[in-house]
This record gives sequence, C-alpha cells and structure tokens, in this order.
Amino acid sequence: MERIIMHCDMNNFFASVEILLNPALRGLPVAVCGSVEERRGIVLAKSEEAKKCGVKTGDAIWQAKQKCPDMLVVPPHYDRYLMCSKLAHKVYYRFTNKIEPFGIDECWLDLTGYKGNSTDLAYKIKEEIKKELNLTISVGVSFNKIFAKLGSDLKKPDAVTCIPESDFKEMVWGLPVSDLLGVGSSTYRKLKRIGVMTIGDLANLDSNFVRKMLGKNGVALVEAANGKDYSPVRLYDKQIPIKSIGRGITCVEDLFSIDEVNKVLIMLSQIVAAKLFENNLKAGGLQLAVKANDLTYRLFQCRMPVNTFSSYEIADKAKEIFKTEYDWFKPVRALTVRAINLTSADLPYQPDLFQSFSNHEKYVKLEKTMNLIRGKFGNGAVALAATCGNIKTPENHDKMWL
Amino acid sequence: MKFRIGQKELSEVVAVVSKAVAVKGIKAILSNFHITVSENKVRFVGTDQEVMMISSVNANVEQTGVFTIPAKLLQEIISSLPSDENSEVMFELEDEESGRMAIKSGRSRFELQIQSAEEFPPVPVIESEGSFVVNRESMLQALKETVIAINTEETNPVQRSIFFDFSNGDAPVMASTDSKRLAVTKVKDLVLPEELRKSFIVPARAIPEIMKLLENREEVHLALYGSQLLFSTSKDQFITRLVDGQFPDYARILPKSSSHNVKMARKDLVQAFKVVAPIARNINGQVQFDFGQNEVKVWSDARESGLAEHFIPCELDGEPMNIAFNVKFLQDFVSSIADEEVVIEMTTSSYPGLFRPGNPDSDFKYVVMPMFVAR
Repeated sequence: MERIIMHCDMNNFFASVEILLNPALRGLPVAVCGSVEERRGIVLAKSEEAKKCGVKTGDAIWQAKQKCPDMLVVPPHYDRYLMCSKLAHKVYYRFTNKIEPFGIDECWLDLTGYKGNSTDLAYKIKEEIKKELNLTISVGVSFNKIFAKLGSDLKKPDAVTCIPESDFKEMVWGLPVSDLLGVGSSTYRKLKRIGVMTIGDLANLDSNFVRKMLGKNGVALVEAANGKDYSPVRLYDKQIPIKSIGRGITCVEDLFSIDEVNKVLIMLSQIVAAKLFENNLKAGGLQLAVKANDLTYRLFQCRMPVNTFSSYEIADKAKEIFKTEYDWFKPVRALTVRAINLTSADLPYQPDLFQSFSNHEKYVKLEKTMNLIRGKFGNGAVALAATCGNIKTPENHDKMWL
Repeated sequence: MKFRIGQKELSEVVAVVSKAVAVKGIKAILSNFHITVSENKVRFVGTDQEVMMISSVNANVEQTGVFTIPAKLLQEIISSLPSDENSEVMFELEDEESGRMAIKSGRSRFELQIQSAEEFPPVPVIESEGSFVVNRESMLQALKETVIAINTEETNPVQRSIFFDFSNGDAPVMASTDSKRLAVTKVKDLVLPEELRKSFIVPARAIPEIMKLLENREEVHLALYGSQLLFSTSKDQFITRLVDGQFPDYARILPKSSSHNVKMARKDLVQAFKVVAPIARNINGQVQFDFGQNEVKVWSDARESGLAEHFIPCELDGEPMNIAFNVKFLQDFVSSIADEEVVIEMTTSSYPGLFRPGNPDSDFKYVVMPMFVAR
C-alpha cells in the first residue's frame, strides 16, 4: 500500500501567533525579535508583509530595518507559541495518532490507509486549523517524510502541494539540492564542488562514491533523493527517551572572572536539576559548552561521582570543569550546562557508609524540598542565593523553565 | 658480559619479577628488567615506581655487567623454550657497540636489543632485611578478608588500599573500604616490634604480590624501609610505596549493637545470590531480604525486566524485617570465607548491616551500607 505522509508547517509561526493575539498588527510588517539589550537582537520570525520587503530570519534588527523601515518589532512569547503548537497537535490527532513533531511549528502525519483522495484530506486538515486556530499552514503530501517536507516548503502560505510517487522525478529532481532535508551548508558545499546542483544530480550519484565523500549519511541522502526514505512517523503518545537535558544562555555582557562564570553556571545548573527531577532522571555525566566572545566554542565533558539530580552537585561539577579546563584565552559570552548519561531516578542507589566521603544525601533532600516549593509557589519561589543580584543574564529566565 | 643460568631458575625469577614491571608504558624503561650480573649471582629488578620486586638467582658468571632488557619479550622467549630440568640458558653480549644480547639454549638462539641501565630508577641497596618474621598464615588470612572491599575502579587511592593499622602492636588490625562497605579484621598472633607500631596505607597494587610472597613456604620478614614497606624472603625483596592520605575512622562505622541477628548456611546464601544476581543487575545490583523467624526470602524485583525469588532457612533473633543490599558486595563476602555459617547483625533497614563468619573465634567484620530506593 502506498504510504500517505503529510508534513504540516505553520506559516510564519511566531509572527502569526503574535498577530493572532494582537489583531492591531494584522496587515503590518511585523518581526518577532530577540532583545538587543540581551545581545540576541535578531529576527526570529516575520509576517508575510515583512517577508515581502526582504526581511529574513536571522537578520540583525538594524539590517532588517534597513530593508523595511516600518517594521514593527515584538518580543517573543514562547509560552504562547507552545500553547498554539499543542492546540494544532490536537487537531491533527483527530485524523491520526501517528504525529511526529519537528520543532515547535512542524509535524509529520502518517495517514496511510485513508480511502479517499489524499489531497482533499490535506485541504480538510488545513481548513480545520484555519477555522479553529485562525492560523494558516502549508501541507506537503507525499509517500515519504522527506518529500512531504519538501512539498510543504514549495508553496507558502496556506497551500497544499502533492508529490505523488508516480511523478516525483519530474517534480523534485529539478529542484536545488539544498532544498532536500538533510543537506546542510557543509554538505551543500561539498556537493557543489563536484557539480551536484539539483536533487536529480544527487539521485544519480554512485553510492560507493558518496560513501567515501559523505559517509553513510550521504548514502541515505542519495536514497532519499530516489524516493527511498522509509523512516516511520512516530506515534504521538510514544515517549521518546530523553537523552540529555541542557540549558544555555547568552549573557548580556561578557564574563571576565571565574566568579561571574560561577554564578551563571549555578543558575543554569539549577534549571537543569529541576528538569531532571521533573522527568524522574539523574545525571551520570555533565557537559559544559563555553562560547567565548569571539564566538568560538569549547566543549568539555566528564562523569559525575554519583548519579544525581542535585543542583548543588551539578553546579559544583560544572564549576570544577570550567576552572580546570577553560584557559581564559577570551572572555566568555555564552554558557551551556547539559546533563548526560541519564538514568532513572527510581533505580535503587547505594548510599555511603562515611558521610565524610560525600554529602550526597543531604543535597538530594534539599533538591526535593526546593522542587516541592516550586511545585506549590512557582519556579521563581526558591533559588540558590548565589544566583541573586547582577549575574549578567537576561532579566527574564521564565522561558528557560519551559 | 657473559653468564649462564639454569633454565628452571631463570623462568622462576622472570615470573616473579615481571609482576612488578609496569604494564602500561608510563616510561619506556619501566617495561624493562634491570639486570645486574655480579660474581656468582644475577639480580633481576622490576618496578612500576609504585612497587618494586628484587630477586636474585645463582649463575655461572664469566663476565659481570649491568643492563636492562624488555621484560615481556624476555619472558616470552624463556617460556617458549622446551622445558628441560637440566638445560641452561646462556647470555652473551658479543658486541658491546651494537648492544645486542645473544641468548642461547639448546637448539635456539635469540638476539635482543638491550638498553643502558642509567635511566632506570635507582635500585635501593637493602643492607638488612629486618629481623622481624611475620606469622604468614594469619597475615595471609587477614589480607584475604580485607582485599574484598577494595574497589579498583575508585579514583581515590585510599579506597584502593588496605589499611595496616599496626599502631596497637599487640593487636594489629587490617581494614579496607570503598566507602560503601568496610572489611575489618585482626591479624592474629602477631606482636609487632616497636618500629612497626604505626599505621600504613598499602596500595591495592601491592596486595597480590604480598599475598604471593606469604603463600610460599618461606620465612617472610617485614621491615620499614624509609617511608616504604619491605617484605623479604631469602631470595626475593618486595618494596611498596605507601598511600599518602587519611584512612577514614573505621571504628566509628562498626555497629555497636544490633536488634536483629540472623544465622544462615553459607552455601544457601551462595545459591540465593546466584539465583537473583542476573535480575538484580538491572537495578544497580539491589537484592532484598525479607527475614522471617525460620525462613528468609531473598529477592530482586527489576519491574519491566523481571523478578527473582529464593527461599532459604534461617534462625532469626528479633522481629521480622526487610533490608536491601548490593548483591555483589555480599557475593564478595560469602566467597571470601570458608565457614559453614554466616551471621548478619542489623538494626534497621537504613543502618549498616554487620556480616561475619559463623565461627565465634573469627575477628572478621564486614559492614555493608544498605541500598535505598531513590524516592
């Protein structure tokens, strides 16, 4: 049976949600942008009108304003986006339980087995979203996930594009190879160098040759270009096991001392610890990413002495890694703390005979208590004292708790 | 340089000394034997800078000298020779310039590249081996009992050691802990001389070699050599560095009283652990005990992965109780003793349990911290 896979992409998602919640913005060039003060002043999403002026996602605000002087800048509201995304999933769920979200605003749907016309069905889904959420989506309909995604990108906004198995060569092979999901900038450069410009060029490459040049991902890309992507759409209810939990932040000013860095590490560790607790997990290892003010990255990793969800222990380890590994060749701009090698917090654990070897139990108790307080009075209700005062992080951490 | 050694004596000395040779190449020279050829003896030295083994063998020496030679290669060559009680191995440095040692035995001939002994760590000159002779059996027994609580994967060297608490020289004690469990025992019939009435933290690395020396049917002398410990027999000298650190206050951990005492047959426990261990492995090794008056249920519940139960008879003095331990720790204990019975003394399910052999004369105490469920 031919598979029916759809890819639904919510058009200009952040900007559309902002307009939805503030109808006065409708018809105007609107851009959702990060804050300039927090040094994240780039365009995250834009309305159709701003798009027409040439504003692109990723533009700095001043660049965008040059292209579109009347552009209205609004700050992002992630909680609203998350809510709208969940509501859209609910609509999709009426049609199938095979829904695989891809980011906050995209989803694959598997509707294999539908007896009627699949294009008509796509229109029906699109119209229901428009009717109920007042948001538009682009839908790609095809026989695999990669072409469905390609289809939804072909016509925007508020459109349906069908790439049937019988016609895919005519429809797809002439498109630029960079349109294919999985062809990122580095793969694109390599392909361009050997004269591969279209998806058709890629489809006709010899797989042994591709394996040598791009490895096994390259072979998968050639297969995909030939319509041979058989990857399934996950069940919506199926919990994907969490592999890691991390939080990162770009500081409002560069950090120059170990004290400044430690405060930010404690703040991040606190959120990571709370997320571990919420998901009933413990960290077996820790990763620390440090971005210097010249935008270069350093990544450090180590094992935890005991598996833990304690913010104290995670912060201590993060501080220790930073102190021993970072050579201060440049001041620090951004930091990310990530818990890895996660294990279930339900597993029995072996306490220590000698309290002098560790204060683990004490910290575990403290963390549980802090999380109880947060559950009752909100995330801001209790925090480690070290995170008080000026810690050069953006004022509002709320979205980091999402 | 030219000498001859009986093949049997040579393979013995090589086997003994190779144990102290560095396995991983920290410094290339440490993977060599240091060999000193003197009047009628050849002395072999191996070291990884934590321990050092010195052993001499009688030889027929024509020309003396000092050199180092790759230990693993020499050992392989010697063991490749056909075993013959009476055959001899001949070493000869035919050409000083090339530094190639010719080794001949029977119909075989080898040439090995030797290296100068200059870079080898200095080999101490041990004038007296000390007159103190240890009681081999009791020392060996104490080591066998305490070696089980060492965790060689620990990074803290104190948790990879045996503590020789000889400060009370009339009742010396050995202890070891990886911080989750503690093994403590007395070394019987050992009255120490004044200079050894101290405490020493002996690294795990040295323990198997010390045990091997004690297993031989020869007098073993113990002496303090600088800040190191020296074990010697008539042929071999073994020196170990001591761990610099503070051994935790083990006496504080030994339970002073108990409210639930239970006695079981050791072989029953061995069987029970064998049954539950495969399931327990899925939940960090946790095995639970439900102690009743006459029977104990030994079980492990790994939820999705499965469940195992095993019932064994017991004699319980106290109220029925439940407690959980790491099965690996308990297996280490039951396989380290030979007694028919095992006694466990407990207070509550969150307080350390004391395991000891059924024999009331034994001073061996094994204290294990129970396991908890995280939430």
